[in-house]
Amino acid sequence: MAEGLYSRVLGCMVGNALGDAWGAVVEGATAERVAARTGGKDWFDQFMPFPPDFRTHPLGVWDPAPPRGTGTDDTRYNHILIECAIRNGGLINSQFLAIEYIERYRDRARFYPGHEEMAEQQYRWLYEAACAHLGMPNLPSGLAPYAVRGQGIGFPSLHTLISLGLAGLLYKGEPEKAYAKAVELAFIEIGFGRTTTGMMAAMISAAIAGGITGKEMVRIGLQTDPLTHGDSEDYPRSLWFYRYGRQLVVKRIERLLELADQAKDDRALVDAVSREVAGLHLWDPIDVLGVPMAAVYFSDGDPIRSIVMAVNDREFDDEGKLKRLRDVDCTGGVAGALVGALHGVEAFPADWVAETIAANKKVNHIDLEANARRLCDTMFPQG
Amino acid sequence: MLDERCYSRVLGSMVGNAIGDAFGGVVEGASADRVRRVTGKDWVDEFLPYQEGHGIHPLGVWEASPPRGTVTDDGRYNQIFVECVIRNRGQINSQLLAIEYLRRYRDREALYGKHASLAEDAFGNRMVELSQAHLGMATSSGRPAWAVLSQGNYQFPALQGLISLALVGLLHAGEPEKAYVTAFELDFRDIGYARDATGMMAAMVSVAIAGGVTAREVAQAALDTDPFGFGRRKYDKRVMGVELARFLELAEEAEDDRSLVEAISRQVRHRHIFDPVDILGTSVAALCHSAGDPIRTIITAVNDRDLDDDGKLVRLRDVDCTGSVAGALAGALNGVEAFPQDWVSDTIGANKTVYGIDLEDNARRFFEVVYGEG
Repeated sequence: MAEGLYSRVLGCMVGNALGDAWGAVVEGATAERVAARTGGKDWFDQFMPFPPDFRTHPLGVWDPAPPRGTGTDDTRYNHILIECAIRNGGLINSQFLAIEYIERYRDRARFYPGHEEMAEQQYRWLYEAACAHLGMPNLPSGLAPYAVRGQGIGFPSLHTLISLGLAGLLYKGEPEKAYAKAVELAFIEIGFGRTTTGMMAAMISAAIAGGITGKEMVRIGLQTDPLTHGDSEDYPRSLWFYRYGRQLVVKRIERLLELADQAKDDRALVDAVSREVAGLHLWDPIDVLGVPMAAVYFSDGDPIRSIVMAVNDREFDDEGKLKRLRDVDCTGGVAGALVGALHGVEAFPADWVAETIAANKKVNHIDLEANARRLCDTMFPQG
Repeated sequence: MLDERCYSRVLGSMVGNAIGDAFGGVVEGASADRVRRVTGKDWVDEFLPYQEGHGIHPLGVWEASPPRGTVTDDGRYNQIFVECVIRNRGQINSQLLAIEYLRRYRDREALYGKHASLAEDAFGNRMVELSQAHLGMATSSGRPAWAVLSQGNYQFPALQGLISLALVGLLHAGEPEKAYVTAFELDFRDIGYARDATGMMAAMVSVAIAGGVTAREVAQAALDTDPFGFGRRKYDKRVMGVELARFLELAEEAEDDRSLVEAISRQVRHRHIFDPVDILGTSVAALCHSAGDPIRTIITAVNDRDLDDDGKLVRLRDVDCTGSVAGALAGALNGVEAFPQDWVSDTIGANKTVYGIDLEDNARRFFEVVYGEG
């Protein structure tokens, strides 16, 4: 196996967890809390440990005040996908993934010893969605399957963007295949939430093949479109509405890239893109994918600057000052996965990598190195 | 077994749906200049004929400058639902509806004659692909079902259900939960909160045709009917519930119809024109603000608009759709007699002439198969 490929696969996984953990320390934090963490600043640019009073949450960290580098739900979800792909010898489809979700919930005592209650709360809704997807007639909630399928959380959101983006690691240098697979797997999501998941997978697929820049990776994310025939005018007319919906998303992200072209420095970029996404829900994938893409584009893939910009995605008060940070464990996780796939694990300081690997092994029952090695062995035995 | 009064409300909902659609169809998406050319002012308050030169469109009217009262896609889609119920003798589910959509496309020459090519465009746009995927068939686009399902028409929650299943509540008089569930199940072409909006619409129509309720009580039925518990979720709110409540506050606060329209305009300015929050919220606010007055309800709804920074009209929004939803609600609440007689006769006549849709016959047959002989 090519070590460069392994480094990029591991880099993607570590970057994802590292960015997730970086942002989780200040996810949704008010200006006062950011100032308290940073010694009075309104800019969060240090990879920090969780403070002593940091609490557990089913979608957050599963141990109180865990070690620096501990990922949240983003990291856990992505490694369900990775471990499902490994377990099935590289073969994966939405049914296999649904079964995996059911097992994670049902067998939580085995998968997550010591964290069964957290796992129960985090995975309960996945269990329901998986049962509906598999056509089981009696869902745990008692609802009919049609009340669950096609519903997501009511609007296109970030759920599969933060849980299936690493599907790009299944296809080295095949962004179209990665995109299609990610959309297929994203049965818990709806609408452009699935499309943005495909974009993320396409970028990672292109990045782990090597030889591209950050800007090129972002362009691949916007241009890969195997399900709607891209920019071609030769497409079935029945797809007009569908393409129209996709174009709305692409245009919103392209607008963020235009702002990147105009920004004079990292803070100016964050100010501009944050104002552009101000009307969107915190969980809108246009924000959670678009802001990291703008950060990667602006820094041309600089690993640390990209993550720092992504985890500073923010809301402003009426005077233009920081009001609170947005869903920055998710923006951080996306940015980290992209830059890690682009540059490999060596792009991050060695102590950050070591701590992130150790923390997720201890708290989340995830061995990032073993998963990266086994995924490479499974998917790319020839390198 | 229900009485003639209930029948009047069923017919009123169908005719109101068509009147509202045609009322707004004349000025859908019209710029401020066009609104002034058509009405002489920046406020649409007359049930006007289509202007000379009003073109045909697969999703608009199917004849150029047709008579007053001619519906667009909203009215046509809703009557497909009605005729599907009649054909299946009162039985309906999402599979039967999907088959109906495929049949309309496949047999368009026989069913739509001179309008067959418009029917091909109208129904070929996603309706066929979504129906095929819903039924587990191979899609004619060649795309796998997973690429089609859970994507909706536009990849975001949109107005498909509201404009094609607005009349589902007519199936279950006084049974809002049943109406909601049926509408939600039938709305396989939508995703997310758009299906909740379709269910809410059905719940309101269901309550309205049973009689004895006020406009505000009809609106409350939308908020209270939540059989799938979207409002009880832990981490995410019921989008339609939260947003509809805001529209009802605007309706209570507004001094008059124009100030309500202006307040709504500010509320929806960042939303896509196909967003069901706009389409349903505007219609329900109009209904409540006018205490169910059918004419004011439709007029307020068809004036849904984009304003510039100075508060001046830029363009009207998707007002055939807001009009059709508002008209269906007002007609269900008040019965067909509440509309001016010439509006009703023009609308029934126009749709019979242009499309061969007989609203009176459909209402009578629908009523018979659903409620017995009444």
